[in-house]
Amino acid sequence: MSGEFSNLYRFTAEGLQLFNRVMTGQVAESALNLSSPKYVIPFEGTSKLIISDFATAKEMAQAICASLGSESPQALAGDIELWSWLTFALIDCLFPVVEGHRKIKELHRWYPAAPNDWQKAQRHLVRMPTLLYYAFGDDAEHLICGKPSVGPEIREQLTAQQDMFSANFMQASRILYFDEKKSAVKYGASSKGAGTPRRLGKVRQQLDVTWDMTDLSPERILELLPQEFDRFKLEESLS
Amino acid sequence: MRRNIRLTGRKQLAKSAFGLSLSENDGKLVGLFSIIVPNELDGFPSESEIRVKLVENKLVEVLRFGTVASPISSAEIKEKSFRAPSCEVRLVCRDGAASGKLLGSTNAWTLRNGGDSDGILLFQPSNTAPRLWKLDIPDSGDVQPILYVDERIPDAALWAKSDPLFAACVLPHVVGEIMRKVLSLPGSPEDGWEFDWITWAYTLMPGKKPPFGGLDEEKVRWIDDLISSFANRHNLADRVLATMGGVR
Repeated sequence: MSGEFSNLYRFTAEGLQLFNRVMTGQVAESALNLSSPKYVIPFEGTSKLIISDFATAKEMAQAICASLGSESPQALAGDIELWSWLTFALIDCLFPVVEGHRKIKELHRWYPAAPNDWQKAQRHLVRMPTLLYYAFGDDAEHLICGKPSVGPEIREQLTAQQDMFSANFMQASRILYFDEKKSAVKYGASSKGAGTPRRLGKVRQQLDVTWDMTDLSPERILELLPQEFDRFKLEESLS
Repeated sequence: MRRNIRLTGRKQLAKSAFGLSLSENDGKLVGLFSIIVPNELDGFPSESEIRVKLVENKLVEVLRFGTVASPISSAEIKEKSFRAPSCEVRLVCRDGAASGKLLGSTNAWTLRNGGDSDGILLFQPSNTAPRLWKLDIPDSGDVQPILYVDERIPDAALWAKSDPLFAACVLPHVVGEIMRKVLSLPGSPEDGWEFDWITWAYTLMPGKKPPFGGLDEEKVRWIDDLISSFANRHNLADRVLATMGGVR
């Protein structure tokens, strides 16, 4: 599960087509040769990508951001050929072989939905962690602290609304749900009950009617949250 | 006149009362703001802050344009990748414990800065019968090409954008027609709708230069490649096959 590329690449139209066929099991992975100019073109200006056994999506995003250098992943959000190439280059991290098979699952985990598709764009296992790390760094740690192969419930919920992509909201949700000692999401934060990320999304929408949520400090956001969030706030103050 | 009633005390501001545009200045992206109808701000505390929220593709940035008493006309935008952000003017309280409360806001609207796949082709219901659709390509200028769709179809514009069969059969032809017109120019356009379309083509085929002034065969090949990339990007054939029950 390691390797390196001298720079990043994009799939050609032919490469992208073959990538789709590989990921849907129509042809063998070996058919897609990542060193063939027929299938890939170099992304000029990027630097070496070192692929290792990334323990977290954050580590993977760091490696990609380092390789992108001054290129903004945000500006490249719609670059399907780039994200698809990265997906295939990282296939062992994202879709490890278990009992002889890769579990590919849902389409938009590996094929990037249009960036403005509010329901599916956040599901891509490479693009979303990279965008989060690039925009928010450690403030997004609670969303990218898991394995690269997992699209966690907390990430799905806390990236579902456009307005969640502000630094103060990221900081507030990190305070609520990230266990600093364990470097992992707090126990119970992946469920669906009171005070969970799913509820935070709903409450955020309600507060947004009265407050300019982009203007409030993380602490002020936490103050405004109803009692149901106390169990996560309390954990924070006890730790 | 249609009015929105809000129960939070937040006032509905008219979009038409404000001017907003994006501009590049010394390599910096700048938001330019103006108050076209000053009366719109009557009654708000003078220290209330004027903010504009830009949102696009998982990206939020807030621009600050001073206060009601002392508005300012420009603010730098840090993120340069905004192309067609949704924007909203907001008046925010700056008074003690209520600081941060929304006092007024406009509805959101889309600010165009260059082309994107939705904005470079306008879909418009029209009396096209007996034809299902008709394409209008302007000679030049800022008015985008328009794809007229038979108005007898309910929500014709939305249908044309979302129906897989229509997209697969019609849009590649539309792209080809429009690009033939663009490539008939002597050189790469610097503005107008043709510039937006070329910018869009670059996003589909990065690094593949359009053959302005080239041989006809080169142009045909380039357009053909563009249509393949477009079809690939949007899974045109697969989406149609999916509606038919998938690939056999």
